[in-house]
Amino acid sequence: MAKYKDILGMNARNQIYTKLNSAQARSICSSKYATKLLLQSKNIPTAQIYAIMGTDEDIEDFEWENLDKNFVIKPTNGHAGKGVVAFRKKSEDNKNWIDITGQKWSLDDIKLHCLDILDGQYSTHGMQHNVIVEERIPIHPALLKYTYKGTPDIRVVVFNSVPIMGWLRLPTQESGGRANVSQGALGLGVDMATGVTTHATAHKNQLIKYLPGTKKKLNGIKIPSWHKVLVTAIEAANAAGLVFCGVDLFVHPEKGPMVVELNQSPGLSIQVSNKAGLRRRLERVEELNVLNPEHGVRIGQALFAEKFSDKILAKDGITIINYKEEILLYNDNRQAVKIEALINTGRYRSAISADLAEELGLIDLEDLLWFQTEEGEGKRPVVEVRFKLKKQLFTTTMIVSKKLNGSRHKVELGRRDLAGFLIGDHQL
Amino acid sequence: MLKRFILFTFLSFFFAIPTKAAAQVTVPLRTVSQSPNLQATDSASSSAQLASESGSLASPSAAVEQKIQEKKDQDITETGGKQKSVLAAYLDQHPIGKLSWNNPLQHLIRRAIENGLPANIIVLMMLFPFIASVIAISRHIVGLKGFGIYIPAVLSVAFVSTGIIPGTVVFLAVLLSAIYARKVVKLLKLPLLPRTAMLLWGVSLSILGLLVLASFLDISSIVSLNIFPILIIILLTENFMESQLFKSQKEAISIAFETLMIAIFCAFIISWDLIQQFVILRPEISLLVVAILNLVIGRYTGLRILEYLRFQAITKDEE
Amino acid sequence: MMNKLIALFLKKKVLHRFEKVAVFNLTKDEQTIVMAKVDTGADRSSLDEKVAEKLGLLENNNIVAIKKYRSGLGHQERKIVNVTFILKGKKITSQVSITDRTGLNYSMLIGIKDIKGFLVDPNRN
Repeated sequence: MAKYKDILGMNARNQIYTKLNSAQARSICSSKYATKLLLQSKNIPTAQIYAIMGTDEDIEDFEWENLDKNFVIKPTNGHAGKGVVAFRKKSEDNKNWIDITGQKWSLDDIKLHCLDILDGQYSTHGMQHNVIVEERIPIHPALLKYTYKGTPDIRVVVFNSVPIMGWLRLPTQESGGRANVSQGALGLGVDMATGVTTHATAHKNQLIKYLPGTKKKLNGIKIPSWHKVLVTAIEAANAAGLVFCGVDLFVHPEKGPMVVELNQSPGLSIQVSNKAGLRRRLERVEELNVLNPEHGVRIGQALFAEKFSDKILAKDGITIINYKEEILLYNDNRQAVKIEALINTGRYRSAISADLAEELGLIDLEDLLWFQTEEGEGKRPVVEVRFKLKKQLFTTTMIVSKKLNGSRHKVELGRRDLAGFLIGDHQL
Repeated sequence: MLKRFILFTFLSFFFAIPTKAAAQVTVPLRTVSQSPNLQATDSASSSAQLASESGSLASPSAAVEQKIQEKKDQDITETGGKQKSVLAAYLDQHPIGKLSWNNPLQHLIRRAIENGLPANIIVLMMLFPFIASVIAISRHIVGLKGFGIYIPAVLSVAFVSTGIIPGTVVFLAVLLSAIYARKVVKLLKLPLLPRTAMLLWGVSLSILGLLVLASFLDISSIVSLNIFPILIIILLTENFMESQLFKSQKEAISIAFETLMIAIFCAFIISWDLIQQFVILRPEISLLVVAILNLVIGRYTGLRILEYLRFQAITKDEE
Repeated sequence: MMNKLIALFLKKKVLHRFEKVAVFNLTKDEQTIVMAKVDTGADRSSLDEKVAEKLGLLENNNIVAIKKYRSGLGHQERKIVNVTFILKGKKITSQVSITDRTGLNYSMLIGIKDIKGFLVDPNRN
């Protein structure tokens, strides 16, 4: 459960975090066209552009007849999906187009809509009202049964090159097939580590468990290519020079994750769907030195994984372990080393002695996730460690402690890694 | 911390003065219009511009005219009314000392009033930044959305002129007619500007209908409305339409209501005698307080009150 | 299935991370309730000095030993005293070290020596 001080409010978001983005970065992401050019120049996957129209003549001159049946018309400066129309097929006589909600559009209807966009009807800011016609990304089969006609999108909030929080947005009938929660789409929180959905909200703030009108559970949905989604999001944020942003992506069934747009002031409802506050996570990540997107993903996954302890208990039952247990530690060559570990419920995060960590080759720069202040020692590095306990494999993070060099047990397992275990002497 | 201390000191020191002054004020400043008993039922059109083809469109009866003048007297935005003299009288009861560093504005204002500048206009100008700050608080501290700052601010002045209840009635009429007009006009499939013009056509017609109805029902409070407040209220339709484009209809309506609440609250503030007197008696302090207030609001990075409500669901303990 | 039965059976004997403990005074005719933290990283339990004093447990004849500790702050001395307390319905008499726990949230720490027969669920508070 989040506390109020963990939550990011509009005041803090607008005055502290969006200010960290440069004016140039902000102007790039306010125009979808500029964003696309940028992404294409850096080889970040994004939907292909069929046309950009800036004047009435452009609309007249465009060869609409040659257009593929799968396309999307968008205003470049739009907000919350307004003005976006997605088409997926042509009518039987081949003269009209059918959009994803099933409505028929004639060529005149389409041209009028484009003219409206040019008139500035859908723009929230700026004077540049242009029309983009681009490739439509089809719905990924894994998500097909949860969405209503439109392509679901994934938003990842990125800060300091670390993925902070993720959100799957499912179009509904109310939203007209659009993936915008302010129009009625559902928001699903996503566990950073596994890419599996956790909680769901409707109308921004109401928590729900099932897809409305059905018995389909909204938690436990696995997002395809999750790791690549996170890496791509960070690459896009870095390409635009955005320190704090929300990156929206689709997952193409063949081409994988593709960036749709960048938001320099992401919405705050993502916190409700994740039942966690953004502010606390942002503060956690502020000072970190992130080497590259992969490193950023590792840090984000280590820091922000959901605690599934209750679920594990339910599935596998309870295992009882002793106060000291033998574990297998994996070194950097993936070979196992037997160690007796102390089970220490007084610790939250597990710890490994510095000498042992060095011996096992676990302290390379790439493995180093962040520094944490340890009582009596000051700032100590935290690294990723894999180990096996009672035949279960764990990937976790451990504090590298110099103090443990002198203790009997070189590894101490803390509460964080003890989910699903009961500790005691086997004296039943 | 320091800012709060300064703010507190100023406020406590200078609010001590007008509370002493308030005790001496004997003239009540009426602000909310009463519903009158009309005797005659002639059309209340105030202008003599209507061509009189038949005798029944001649000038309104004396009783109606008297009601209209009463309304004007209460209306602080009217220069033809009595408010300005009430405020001028108040100033006369509180003479100030010689010109020094801390009262240049006070002297300036009094001289201007002597020159003929209506006191009520001065008060309104001074209060305008104050209500703008109240609106800033309503957004940054409370979390209400509203249609920006200008609309609620100007709307609140309009409400002071019309009286809060008649003003709200017109507001609601405009809102309702805008919603229906939009549905109809949408079918016409016009481009943006002609479409907006048609919307205003529909809304203006509805308001005209309201005014005419009021004249038949003898509701003088609506009949005697000044044109500018009505225009202001109508023009906010355009904003409302725009917001309907971006959000769901439900959300657009709720924003409109938030704007209404903010405007009513600010209208009350402007109408409050104590505030009017304080501002005209101590203009320097008033301006300073407003500036400091905005600096403090601008620095606040905590959650807004409505955000506490919004995120309630995730702070409750499940276990 | 077996695990479910074990779980039911275990409900009585599972310690959470924090437990309410009733500590007896020297003459065992009075109790004080304190909040205790269960810490499997500690061998011996420890009790806050002030609480121990109030309960009269720091009398000379109640002191079992004086241990010398080496901690991050250098060499320290700690008194070990006899204490009787009730943990989840079980009465335990043990030798407990006396420490200064001012500023910490919990006046008592329970170590491995005193949780025989119990199981600890570290992720339940």
